[in-house]
Amino acid sequence: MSDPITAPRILVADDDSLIRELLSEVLSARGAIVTLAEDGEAALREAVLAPFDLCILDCEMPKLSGLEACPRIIASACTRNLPILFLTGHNDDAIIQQAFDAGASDFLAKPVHLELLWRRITNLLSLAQMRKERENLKALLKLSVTPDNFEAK
Amino acid sequence: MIDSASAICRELSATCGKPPVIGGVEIRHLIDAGGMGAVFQGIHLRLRIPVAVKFLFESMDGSAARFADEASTAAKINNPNVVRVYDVNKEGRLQYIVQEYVDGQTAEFHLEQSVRLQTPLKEDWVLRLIADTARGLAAIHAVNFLHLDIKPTNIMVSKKDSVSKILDLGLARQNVELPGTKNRIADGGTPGYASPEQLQFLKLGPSSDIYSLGVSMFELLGGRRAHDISSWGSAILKQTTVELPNIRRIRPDVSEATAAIIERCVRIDPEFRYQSALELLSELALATHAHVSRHAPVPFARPVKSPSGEHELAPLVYCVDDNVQVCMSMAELLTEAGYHTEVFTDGPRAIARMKKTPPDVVFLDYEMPVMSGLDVCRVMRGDDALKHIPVVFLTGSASPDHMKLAMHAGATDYLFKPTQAAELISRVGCLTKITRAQRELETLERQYGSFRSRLSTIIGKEIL
Repeated sequence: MSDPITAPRILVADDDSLIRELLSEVLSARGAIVTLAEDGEAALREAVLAPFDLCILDCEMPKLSGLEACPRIIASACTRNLPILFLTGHNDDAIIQQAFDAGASDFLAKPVHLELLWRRITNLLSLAQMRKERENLKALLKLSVTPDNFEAK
Repeated sequence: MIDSASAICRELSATCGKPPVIGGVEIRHLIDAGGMGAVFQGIHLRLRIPVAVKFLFESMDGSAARFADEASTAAKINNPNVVRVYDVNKEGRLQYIVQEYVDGQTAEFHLEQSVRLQTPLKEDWVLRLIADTARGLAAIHAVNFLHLDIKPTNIMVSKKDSVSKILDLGLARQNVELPGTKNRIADGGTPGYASPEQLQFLKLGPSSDIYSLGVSMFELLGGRRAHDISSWGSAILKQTTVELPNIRRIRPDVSEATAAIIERCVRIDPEFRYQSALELLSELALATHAHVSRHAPVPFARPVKSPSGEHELAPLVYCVDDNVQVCMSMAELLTEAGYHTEVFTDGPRAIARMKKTPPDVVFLDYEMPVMSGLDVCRVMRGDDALKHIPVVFLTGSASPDHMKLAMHAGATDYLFKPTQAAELISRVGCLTKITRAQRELETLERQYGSFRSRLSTIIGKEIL
């Protein structure tokens, strides 16, 4: 069962209901809290309303495609560091480059290998976690007064 | 009569002890006082977090009921861009809301400072602030409320991460159209920011908040008030008849995309504005993106070359494959992409080299004579110096068993042969980020550790 505090919150946007169901089931089984969106517009709406740890976007979707939704999702200060994993239909260099230009953190070519998908997700989450810790430590070190002017309260 | 911050302080120290504790919150110091109440910083003793406590001044005009409404409205909204409300209560004569404490300044403060220092606020910064606020508005609108008092004083910018949050839902109303009443609002709003329909008691909607946000955006970028007015009378006269000028006439360096967004936010006729915060957010995101990419094209998955050239070390990649052809073609691709590459045709030699010079990423063939990829990976994971280096397996077979075994042996990622250039290069791009972050973290942890031990020797005892 997923722990509501530490469980990663993942937003999955894909227009194929089968893939949505599959990912929801598989990711939940691994302890993630999954929110589903059926197109790019719905993904944007969800991403605006709640904080997520990671977002999986299908490249091709109606209304807003993944490529169009991505820069919009990561535009605000709160989502600037949100890792975005793209699912690309074909293993096409041009599409992959476009995805990275749009702000993707990583991608996975379809058909999706679930084991590999989970590995890429955990890689992105651990990178985000390390960056967060790095910022915390930097802030701590900045705050830390030098021993010479340290004053005990 | 409690009608000032000092009256609240007196009441607090008279009835709540010293230091004053009210509703489980220890009150520390005054942050701000306004016409309606005063805000203090405090510590929530049970949750052990800093909070802001907003006290309401006593008055006769039913503001007490509205105050409770505000808390109840805000409590329905859980969004990082809206200040969170934890509690509302009345103890004796003190009525208060306990809410999230944001360490930072209001947008108004930043605006005034920019005017004083004569350095206009950066367009990118303002776009982010407005995008954050639009996100907050979207959340408020999603529960069918309108804020109706968006202005720079009600937007808080956190010092830590520059995230903006909407404050003060004191005027927020449910966006329901009651027959006959036309959703009127008899009091409140701020002249200069209130939308024309709000000033004229006409029908309100999400686009009324968009108007106020547009005016705020105009002011933050323009470094001056949008409407030069002081009273409700002059506000009605001007805001309902004269459209705002294009921001580029005041500040020519603002991008056209941004100017177009402001123009569409502040139209007098609500029909011509963005109809929802999401619509605005969408456009803002593109303007931000255009703005950022215009100034700093973001190269992806290729090592950033430093301006000075040699000093920036390109990531080091080791390719281990018993097939020399595969090795060479990979090395060629990676070198072309700007990575330092070394190739090995067997495991033992690769490991020996790694111990001398640890690489940023290792590509391992699954099947090799002498030592298989799995064996090499296991050895690496068992070695303290090598266990954090990302390992990507390459395999010709799509067998799920192979993948499972590789993951079990400690693989970080997995590729199928034949591999395409983009696939290969993006793996290195993504994984070197992990290696770099890991190294930076280790350095910082060492620094922090040495800082703490120096501190302990000075205080003479172990610190937590």
